[in-house]
Amino acid sequence: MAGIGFELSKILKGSRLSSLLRAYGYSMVIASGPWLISIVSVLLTGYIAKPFIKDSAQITQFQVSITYLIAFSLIFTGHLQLYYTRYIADRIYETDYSRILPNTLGVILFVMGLFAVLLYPVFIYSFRNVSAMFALFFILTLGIMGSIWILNTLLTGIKNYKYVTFSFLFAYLVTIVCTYYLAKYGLKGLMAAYFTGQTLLFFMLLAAIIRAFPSTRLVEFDFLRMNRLYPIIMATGIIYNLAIWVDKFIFWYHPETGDNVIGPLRNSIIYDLPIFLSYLAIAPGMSVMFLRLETDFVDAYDGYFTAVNSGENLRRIYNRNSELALAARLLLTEVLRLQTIVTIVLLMLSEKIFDFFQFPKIYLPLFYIDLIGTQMQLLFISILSILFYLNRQMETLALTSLLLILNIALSYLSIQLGPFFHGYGFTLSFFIVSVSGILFLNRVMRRINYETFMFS
Amino acid sequence: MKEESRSCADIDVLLLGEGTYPYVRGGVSSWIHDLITGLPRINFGLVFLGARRQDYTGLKYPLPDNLRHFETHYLFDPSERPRKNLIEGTKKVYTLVAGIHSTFRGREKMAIPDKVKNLDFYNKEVTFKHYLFSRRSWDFISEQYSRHCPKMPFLDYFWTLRNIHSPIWVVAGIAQKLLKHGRVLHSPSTGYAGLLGSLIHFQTGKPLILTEHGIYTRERKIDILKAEWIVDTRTFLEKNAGEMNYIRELWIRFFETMGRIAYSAADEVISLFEQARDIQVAYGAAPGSTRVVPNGIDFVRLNALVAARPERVPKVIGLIGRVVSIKDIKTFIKAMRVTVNRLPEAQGWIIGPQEEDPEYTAECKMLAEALNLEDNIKFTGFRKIEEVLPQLGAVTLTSVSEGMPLSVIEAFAAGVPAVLTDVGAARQLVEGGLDAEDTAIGKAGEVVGISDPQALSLAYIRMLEDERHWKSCQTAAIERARKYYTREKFLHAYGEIYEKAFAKWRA
Repeated sequence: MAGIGFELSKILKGSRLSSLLRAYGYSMVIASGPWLISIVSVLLTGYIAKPFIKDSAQITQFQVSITYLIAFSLIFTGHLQLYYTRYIADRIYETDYSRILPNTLGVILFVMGLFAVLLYPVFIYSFRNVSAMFALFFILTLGIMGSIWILNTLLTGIKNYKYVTFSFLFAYLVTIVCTYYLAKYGLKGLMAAYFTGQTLLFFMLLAAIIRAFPSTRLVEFDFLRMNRLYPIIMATGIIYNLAIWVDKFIFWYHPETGDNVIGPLRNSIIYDLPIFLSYLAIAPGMSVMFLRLETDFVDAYDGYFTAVNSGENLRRIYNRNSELALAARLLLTEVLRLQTIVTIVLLMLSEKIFDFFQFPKIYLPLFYIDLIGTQMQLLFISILSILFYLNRQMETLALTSLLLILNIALSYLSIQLGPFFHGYGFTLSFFIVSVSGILFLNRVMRRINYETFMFS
Repeated sequence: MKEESRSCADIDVLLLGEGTYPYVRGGVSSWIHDLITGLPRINFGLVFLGARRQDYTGLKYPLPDNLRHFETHYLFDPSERPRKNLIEGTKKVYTLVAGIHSTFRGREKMAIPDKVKNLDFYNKEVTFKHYLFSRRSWDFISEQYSRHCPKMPFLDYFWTLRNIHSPIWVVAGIAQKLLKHGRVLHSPSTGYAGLLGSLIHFQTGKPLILTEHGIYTRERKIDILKAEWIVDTRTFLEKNAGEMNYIRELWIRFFETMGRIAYSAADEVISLFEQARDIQVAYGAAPGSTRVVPNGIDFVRLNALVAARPERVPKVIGLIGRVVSIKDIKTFIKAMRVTVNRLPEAQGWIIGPQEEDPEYTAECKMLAEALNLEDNIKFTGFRKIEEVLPQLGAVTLTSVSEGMPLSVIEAFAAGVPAVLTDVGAARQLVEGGLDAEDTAIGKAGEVVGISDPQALSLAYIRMLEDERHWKSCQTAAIERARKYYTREKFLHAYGEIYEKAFAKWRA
């Protein structure tokens, strides 16, 4: 019998949406989590160290060192964090759990290797005039922190939130105890204490992962296989982390706003404190976002794709689409609403807060604008989360790239315009990308049926 | 899989095959092979249209020397598709498409719109990219869905639509590159291959010859009615008795329309037997353009097998065919049970490959066992006909659907009568009917109704017991094969058809 009818029916039978999306929308939460934790830890360590150290310059050196450790470990693992979250999500989707542990150890080895080649020589050279001991603790902590960010991508998979919270609390408690005993050795001692805490945290999290994902293999580099690489996701990860740090680097290294602290590390007395402080303010918004994402949005998302794949009629698919759009809108408005209240309250109380912590009042105007800026950043993170969920790789890449460019240009411009404009560059950048993000999201939601079907 | 290709624009006849020669074995494939090798003075070109690369495994025939041009395309291969691209599409184009659709949907068989015949329509106006990715295209699809079948599973509708339409653009792309190839186009089926021929014909005016072995449109109809994946979501109350699922209807209408396009383009619409010609006319072929050219076999070679036959008629009935449900092997087994009751030594051989439908094969074997026919029924697998034909008392086919089975003509030439079910060309082969002379030759066996083991067994018993009857059937069989179904006659007919077409193209 001539004709391809037989094959045709086979093909039609197999036609389901191949691009069935796998949930990896927690990427953004996961990417933002460590950064929030670490901001807290920078501020916290300063307070912890204060009673034990007489020389306040040493505390600044310590805080700046930790800040750099966070920045570099995040930027240089940013590509792997997002990508590895995706890798894990795919393996979980395939129920191929035994790959998780060996590949996680593989990624960690990879990170260590990457740092050893790219960063260790740079820092060892940079600290040649400081102290060998300091340099040693610096690079060791860098490796450990990079590894912690990798483990972090797996934490939502463990579902043992109590243990994870306990690990963080216990590790920071140990850091405080160590600081008490090691403070007499000055900066080296503080670094050693921090390193001890982080190392403990690393092994506690690793233990949880070994328990949760047992495997017969120890180390594997399956994640490096070409067909499993997602170049856009990796680029987005690295660009995002660069973009959220770049305004700080500009203020640190601009001669008008930055000062030398230790070796080549610099800080910006006028810029740093207000911005780190205002990051703390978005914690409530972050938790609401996480909650909404995990409940309403996931349900709406599952509802939509189930409707598509289970052969619902078009009217019902459109209804599900509206529900998905509604869930996204609800997420954004709730985050924005709550965070606006927090911001207003903080704006009103900021003088009292500054009095309480004995912060110089000169920082107040910058703190005000930074509060709005971090709120915009929160909104942006929420939008990115949704876009990641919908697997909109090009949009997320475009938005983070835009953010990087804007944050460089506008931060630099704000320095040129004078102290009154400090912070506006950062805030305006996040405002512009958030608005663009909402426009993207609007378009995505409007076109989701068209693209889901026509581009599958 | 190793892919051959040959390139030469200066050819006489461009053959357009869909899912057949040289990558697939079968009746149509051997027919094409015979045609090319049998007319060595004509230079052939061949375009193979397949579904996907992985559906085929290498050449099954050596390519003849006078096949000067050969190219392979896969209609569903991702490489044939344009890259994903966001495009809007223009309103004008979709008004046009809407117009064409409403013509095709019309109850009465209207003329094919000119746009559909124009290659520029597919390659410039509504491109493959537009069809696959444009916003307008999506709007049109969802609008049609909402209008005609708003309760069907949308995913099924969408995929059916996309998958049956996509090859049109692939075919239009292929046609564009073949405008200079050959003087005459010849397609052994309607469907996408027929469409390819039609598009080149409309564009260049080159004569198109259409030969149908089965009736493509009807075969697709059987496919779709059997397809189990099409879920009917309508409840008992929503459905009128006998009303077809919209997706099935859509599919059938699509292939019917492609058939009509090919029939309207073809200068000659050729079938293998009279009944098939009637069906072609019913599906829209102009009666004046139709004719019957039966298949031919190598009479001399096969007739030599008569000498190899044993003196007595072997008590063996052979069914030469694949073990698949359309051949209704189970009825054969049941008929053998009745036959064996009368003639305990009678044998029933099922000669043909068993891989295509293992489940059905297993069921047949179980049935033979259940009927205690282990000693009387043999599944021989594929066998060479030269070896097997002299050992048979008669050949049989119990199929529920059949075209013109070549194996029966081969059996005739080798002096083996046939017992056939009344489908396709059966009656024409057994009783004659091409002309009065043919009928006068007499019966070369028996024709019985489908799914009637009782009637079949009566025919088998008579064939194996009544030597005089058998002898007269053998004489008629050999005579009919020699007179009407030789390769020479078949090649001569096509030689003439091509000559006529060449003349037409020159003029």
